[in-house]
Amino acid sequence: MTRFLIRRLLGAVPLLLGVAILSFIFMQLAPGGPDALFARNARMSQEQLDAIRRNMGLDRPTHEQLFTWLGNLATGDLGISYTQYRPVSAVIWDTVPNTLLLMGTGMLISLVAALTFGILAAQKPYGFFDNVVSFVSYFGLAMPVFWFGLMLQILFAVRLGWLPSAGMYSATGGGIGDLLRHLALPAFTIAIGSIAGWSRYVRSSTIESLGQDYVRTARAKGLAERKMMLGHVLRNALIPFVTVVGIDVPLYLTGAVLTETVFSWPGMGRLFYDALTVRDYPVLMGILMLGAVFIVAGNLIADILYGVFDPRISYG
Amino acid sequence: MSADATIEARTAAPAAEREATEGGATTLAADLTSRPPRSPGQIALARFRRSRLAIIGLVMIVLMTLAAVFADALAPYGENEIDLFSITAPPSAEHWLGTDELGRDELSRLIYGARVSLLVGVGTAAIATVIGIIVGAVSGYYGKWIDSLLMRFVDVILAFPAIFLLLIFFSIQGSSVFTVILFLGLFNWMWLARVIRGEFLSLKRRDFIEAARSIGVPDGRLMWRHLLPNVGAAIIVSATLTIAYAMLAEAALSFLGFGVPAGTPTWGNMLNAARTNYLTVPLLAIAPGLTLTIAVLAINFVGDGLRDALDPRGRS
Amino acid sequence: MVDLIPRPDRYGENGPDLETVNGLIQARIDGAISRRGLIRRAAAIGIAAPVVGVMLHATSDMVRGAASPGRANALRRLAQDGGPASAEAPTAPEGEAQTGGTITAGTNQEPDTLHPYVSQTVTAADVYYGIMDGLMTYDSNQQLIPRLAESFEISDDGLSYTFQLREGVQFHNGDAFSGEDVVAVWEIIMNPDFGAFNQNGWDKIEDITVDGNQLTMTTGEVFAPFMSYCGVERISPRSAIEAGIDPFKQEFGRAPIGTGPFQFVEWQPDQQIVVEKFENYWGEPANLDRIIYRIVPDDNTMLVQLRTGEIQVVASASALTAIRVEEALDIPGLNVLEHATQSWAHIDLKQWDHLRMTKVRQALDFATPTQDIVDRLLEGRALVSVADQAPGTWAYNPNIEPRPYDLEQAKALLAEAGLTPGSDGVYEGRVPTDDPNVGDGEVKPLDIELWFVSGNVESERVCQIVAQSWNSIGVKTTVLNQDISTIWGPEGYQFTERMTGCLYSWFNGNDPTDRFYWHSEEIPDSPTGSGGNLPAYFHEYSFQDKIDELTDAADATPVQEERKAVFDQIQELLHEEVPVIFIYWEKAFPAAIANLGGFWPSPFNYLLWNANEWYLTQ
Repeated sequence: MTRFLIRRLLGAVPLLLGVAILSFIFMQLAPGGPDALFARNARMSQEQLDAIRRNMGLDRPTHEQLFTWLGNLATGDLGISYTQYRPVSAVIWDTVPNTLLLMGTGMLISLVAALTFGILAAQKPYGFFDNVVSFVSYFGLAMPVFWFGLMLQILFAVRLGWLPSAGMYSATGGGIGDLLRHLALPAFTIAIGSIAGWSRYVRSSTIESLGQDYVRTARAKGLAERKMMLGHVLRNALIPFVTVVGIDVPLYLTGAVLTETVFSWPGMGRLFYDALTVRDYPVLMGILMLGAVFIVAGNLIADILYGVFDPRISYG
Repeated sequence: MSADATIEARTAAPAAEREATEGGATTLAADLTSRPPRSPGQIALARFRRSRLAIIGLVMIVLMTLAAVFADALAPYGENEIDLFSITAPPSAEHWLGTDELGRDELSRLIYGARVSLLVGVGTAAIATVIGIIVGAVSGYYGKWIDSLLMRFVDVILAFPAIFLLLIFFSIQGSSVFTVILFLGLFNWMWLARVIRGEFLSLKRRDFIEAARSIGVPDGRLMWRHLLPNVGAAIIVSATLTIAYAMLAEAALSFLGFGVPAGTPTWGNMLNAARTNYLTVPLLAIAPGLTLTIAVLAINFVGDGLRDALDPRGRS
Repeated sequence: MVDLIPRPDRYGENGPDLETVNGLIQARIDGAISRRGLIRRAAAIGIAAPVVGVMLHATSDMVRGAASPGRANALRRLAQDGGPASAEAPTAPEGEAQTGGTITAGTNQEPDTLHPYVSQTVTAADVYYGIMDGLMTYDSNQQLIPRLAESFEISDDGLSYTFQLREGVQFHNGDAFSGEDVVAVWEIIMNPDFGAFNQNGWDKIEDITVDGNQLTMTTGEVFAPFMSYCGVERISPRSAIEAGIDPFKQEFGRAPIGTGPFQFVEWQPDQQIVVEKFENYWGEPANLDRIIYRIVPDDNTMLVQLRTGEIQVVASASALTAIRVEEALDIPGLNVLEHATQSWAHIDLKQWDHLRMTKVRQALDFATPTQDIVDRLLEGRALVSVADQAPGTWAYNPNIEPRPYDLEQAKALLAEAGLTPGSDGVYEGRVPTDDPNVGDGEVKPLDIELWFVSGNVESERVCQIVAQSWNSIGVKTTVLNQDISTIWGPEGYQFTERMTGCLYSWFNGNDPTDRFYWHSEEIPDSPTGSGGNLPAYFHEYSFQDKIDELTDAADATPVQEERKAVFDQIQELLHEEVPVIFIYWEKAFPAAIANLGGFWPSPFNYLLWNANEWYLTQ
């Protein structure tokens, strides 16, 4: 098991290295170079510009910059934000908990909904409930996330006035209730795609397990239906499911950019969008790298959980 | 994007797949038609026809394509016909869906928007499919270090948070319909490549391939004539779903302001413009979003219909 | 010493002293003489022209040229005429003023940093103006008023400035304010490793001496706008500056310390910045307990939150734009104000190919529906512009009529310039080579890129309207956009070898000088060079000599009547030659809940400049 873990973890290193090198190449391609933002300021003297370039290490040859970039990445030093004048890592870390909260809540909603709908729908394939679920999930998959968010906003925040339209806390409020009220719409928005996808998935894998020999045997032995459902079927449906969840991390990252922009959620996605509009390259690159870490970690966790859940896997 | 979930769920998890090939454990094998059709095309056609949703989807797609092609004749107004004297007018006999913030006819722009959306969808799918086939085929057929190299490359690209990268790129380079298609294509071939590689790996050990090779059939011809037809179904299904994905992705990029240049009528751009007034004129946000949802829905119906029709293990 | 508080009654029988530099400045601040009177008198007693410039900046008042109207207590309710009320004085709602309370202001952009020396955003100044004081500050009549300095004096040669510093002032961290803090500010701004955003004024200082409460800045040359830079710069405590460059730049920017009426409490990124009343403020402590500056990047959400009362004030950087006013007027209990701005929206036309030909530019002006844009798109909430001086200012030439929207005339002018419609309907013809008005080069289509800064909704709509109109007569126009730092960067549209236009606004300064926009010395020498005359980067205007001469003359003429005559000529020339297509003068629309008093926004200062005077009524 330990060897398996180490092997998997080591496997992630070259992957991230590849991502880092490609990211660096992109940064070099930026027109005007990374100091374009300062160069446009006519009032800045050449002396000041040089000082900034020196501070940012832009005066050194490209390959040296690459190694500095990789070395800094390894130590978590992502440079100084062009616009906020403080370390990129600090800028990003301010927003990461908020994004994790949003993504985590979204995934939780999605998991609960998908398992409920998926297993219920599998009870009577092509029955009424199944048809409703599959019709709704077709819509869930076809809808643009941000559009769904806009619609929720129009309906629940503006027309009905039940929930706040944006932000994370009220200006004067605070407290968990306030947070949950703000969280409701964006979390549901970010979850919608995966609710649909995952419930279809759970449905089909449940149907598959229900048809397998051991379930028939169990049934024949008279095991209580409910117990059997939870014990065998759920377990078997879950095994491949954990991998699907891990792999949907990119989906959630995409969702975070769109959802956070629509709902002014103070997370990584919003930060990214803001940095994009002012071309804060170090922040953009930092988020790109962190996004890659999330994706790799998602895959890794899926891999490991898959191993934990499925005793048939050997950790060779 | 939500169609992602479909593709991922359908093409099976990468980790699981890796286990399948490396560890030899039986897991959820790519349920994308892994074996050659046991029966001729007519059976598939018959199956497809049996699926009512697929037929509905197909009809919708045909109608939409016709509308896009004959937009000039169908649309009551020009795509950029500005009327400053009827800004955000409500629906009326002259303007069935009202007008937008510049007094342009909403219905006409929806019709013209179908052009770009479909173009982006089909264009992206074409690029992604070509790259996916080439990489997958080369990797699967030649194996060894070429395979390792290409698959590690696939891993790196998959670890990139594509949305971040595309947004950075378009914010730096600017974008056009062409670049949107190109870059969406460049980031969506990996799953197909993996599936094809897996198929080729197993197919090339089959007797008929060994035989063909022993009599000196050239590699290219072998791949083209003997191996590729066996994965035709996977390609068709993957391409269909990529179309849907790309349409959603274009809308998301344009919505954020980094997709197809503003002013070009696309459903994403219309949603982007509606961001400034969707609370007062909700129809401007509802109409393009709903149109896009229906279009993606139709394509997903067809995609699922095709998959069921081409899947040799399809339900009874 | 010149007392910054106007007191016309200070002169006994002798009347004001009109013999010395400082006497004249005092007389001007007290309103004893007019701006024009000061210029005349200074000329008469032989004060050098550059020193007169210094004096004008030390007394600058309304750009509009009118005398300060004083702080009349008049609230104009928007409901009365169904439109925004003019913001000429602080709001004064009916009802009992109370002490205490919290106000939430909104913004559409998060500040980059709250550091006054490195920030590049207006939203940052909107906040730190409540936290930090300068020696002086501008009020909404553009009058300098005392803050950390009680009075000042300018030497007769215009080279040294002496400030009488206020005593007993405390920083939020407990430090006592002294002249040493000002010296430290000067040193850090001039430190190249620090990388201050703007060194203007500070780079002219050769020495600062402190003698008790008297602080003297000595400059190496006469620099007219000295006071508008150094006189109003926010002052940080020396102890924070000495903490080191990085901590000062990074930490101070996230939690600034000053002597202002409000002290910094917290900054939750992408959410809000909170400041609270500083009890030991040197002046009258604030009425309000707290001000929350809430970050809502999207206009729509801002309007929703104004409606629900989550946001109660928008002004300065976040003031409403013309296209939003109608929606805002609809919100009950919201007071929408209006003030003119010095910013003119225009489309610059790069001197390249056909755009070098005067007739082509005139044709494009005829083909631009300026009046419709103002009336329909902006709902009349802007003023049509014909040149670069705002209506209502003394330099404005009222005798120029805008070109009507006339597509036939436009086509006729294109034909006169030697252009004919090609097979695809797009005009084409020979481009000029040596003489900008003679087409003798190769045949090219009239194909123009029209740019705007991404994210600016108003510009985007104007560009689309213009593009449609131009396209309709056969001028191929493609609308494009880029983010603000790229579009003004060295790879921006100005430096491409194509025909381009770009919609943006210039903000005029306190003085009508417009050399920066048109003079040949303001043409950047490289894509990273400085200067405002960017359209002439590749080729000078055909009227370059004339405009150089006129803009130089305008700056060298101290007497206003004579200057006005020069500015009249400049405006006529600009209207005739159309170096850029003038579209409109923007207006700004601050808004606040109806029971907020003391709120007095203007284009001359920032959101919290007088927030200690804000109060709520029952």
